[in-house]
Amino acid sequence: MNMEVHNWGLNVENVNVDNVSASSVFLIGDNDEICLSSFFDTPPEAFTFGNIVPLAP
Amino acid sequence: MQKRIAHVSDMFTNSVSFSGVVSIGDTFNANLNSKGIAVQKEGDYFTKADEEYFEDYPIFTRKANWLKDGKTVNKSTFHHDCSINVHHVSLIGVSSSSLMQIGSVENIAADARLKHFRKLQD
Repeated sequence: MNMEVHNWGLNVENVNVDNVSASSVFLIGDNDEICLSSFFDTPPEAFTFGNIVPLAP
Repeated sequence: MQKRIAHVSDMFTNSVSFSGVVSIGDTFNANLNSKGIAVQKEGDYFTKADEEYFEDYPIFTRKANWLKDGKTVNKSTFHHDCSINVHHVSLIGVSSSSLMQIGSVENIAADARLKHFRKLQD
């Protein structure tokens, strides 16, 4: 498979990101190859987010 | 791969923790691995018995089953305007071996494994 990329300009005005976590990637720019894998395991009796005590303000 | 110049005029990053990376410019190879165990326990004291170890759980050694090898891609890139202009980026947190990159990066291989525990008093 042939792929031709023509880039004229990359202008970013404003980006707000809260959190980039657990081997994640936040990229502004060029790339050739990305492989991201993640394994996540929560016990069945995990609480819903409802009743976790919120952090003090 | 032809590179571009990254112009960043304003960037705010609150915290870069647990081997996070914030990089402006070019990277050839990024290899990110993070393993985590989160224990949430009811009660007000932690003992040696509550500690968990990576070796005890197969999730940390399991292989990821990637797609069978797909078609090879011959990519040719032409930068007519060889600059990346970023006016403002604001980031609160880059944590547990994550990458925040402005610029080019050839290869990224990232792996994250997280196991949660909730220990309740019966």
